[in-house]
Amino acid sequence: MPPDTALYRRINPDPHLVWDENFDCWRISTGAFRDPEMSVVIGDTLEELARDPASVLSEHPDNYLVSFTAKVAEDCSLTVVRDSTPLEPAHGVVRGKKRKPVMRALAAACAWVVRPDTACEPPYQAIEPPGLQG
Amino acid sequence: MNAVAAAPINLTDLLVSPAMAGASSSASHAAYGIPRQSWRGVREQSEPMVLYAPSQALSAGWFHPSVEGISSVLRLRRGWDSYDARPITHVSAQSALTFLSRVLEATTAPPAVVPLADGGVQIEWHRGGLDVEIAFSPGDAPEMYIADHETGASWDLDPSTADFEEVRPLLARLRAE
Repeated sequence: MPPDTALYRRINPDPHLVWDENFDCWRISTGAFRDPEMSVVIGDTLEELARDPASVLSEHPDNYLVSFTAKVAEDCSLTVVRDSTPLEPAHGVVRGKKRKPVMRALAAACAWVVRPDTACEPPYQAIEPPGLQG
Repeated sequence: MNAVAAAPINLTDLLVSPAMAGASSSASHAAYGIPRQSWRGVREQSEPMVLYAPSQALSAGWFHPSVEGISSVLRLRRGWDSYDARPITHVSAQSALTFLSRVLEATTAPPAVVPLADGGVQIEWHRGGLDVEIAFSPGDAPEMYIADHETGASWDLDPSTADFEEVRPLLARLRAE
């Protein structure tokens, strides 16, 4: 998979948006990136299907949407696999155990595609995420 | 099995009892019963799921909001994240509450309680110039991350080890307004 392939991840505000009182904005909890079999929607397949990324939310209109690249996942020693389903032909899975450094790296690498009002901009902290431990 | 919606938790209905026989700590503990989701077609409270906390924690400002948050995530069913997330385990929930009870001061602000897809619980604060996150997952040692916006320092550590004492003073900055 080309490293610049976009991977889209739905963000359910309850429970995965938390209020950041340091910056008065909504930030994505790193808990949204814990799943060892983390579902994503793969951007190049969406393009082939002539679908807008926002269509990922068609069945979940109360969710928000972020994207990061396949390279970010690979840099975290994770594996991205295509996993088409009848409900989502562009479905994929980011496989691998995700301890806190990896969770933070994924959260920090996200770009909003569909965002809430007063959303924080990743990377949230003024400090760069620590080096990945692999 | 046909699961029915869990009864809403009313904290005033939680069980409170003196120190349980066989408790490892000499301090008295209050037991808090949380009704388990019934698998029958009628609403009933079967075997309660009990969480333990030292009785002195009851009067802390963070206690009831935290218990409400923890009981809320314990009610989540498989697939709660619209994918295949596991239900939150009792062990993870108890680990989180035990950590809070042992570490927080009475005036500490309550944390956000975030369920994890692996059946764990993450508690976190973003205030006082700090980002503090602790993840409790089944089968794993707890993981703590603290970032200090004032100094630029950050830590990744296991809060159950002696490493925690280095960062413990920072938690005073999490006090409620």
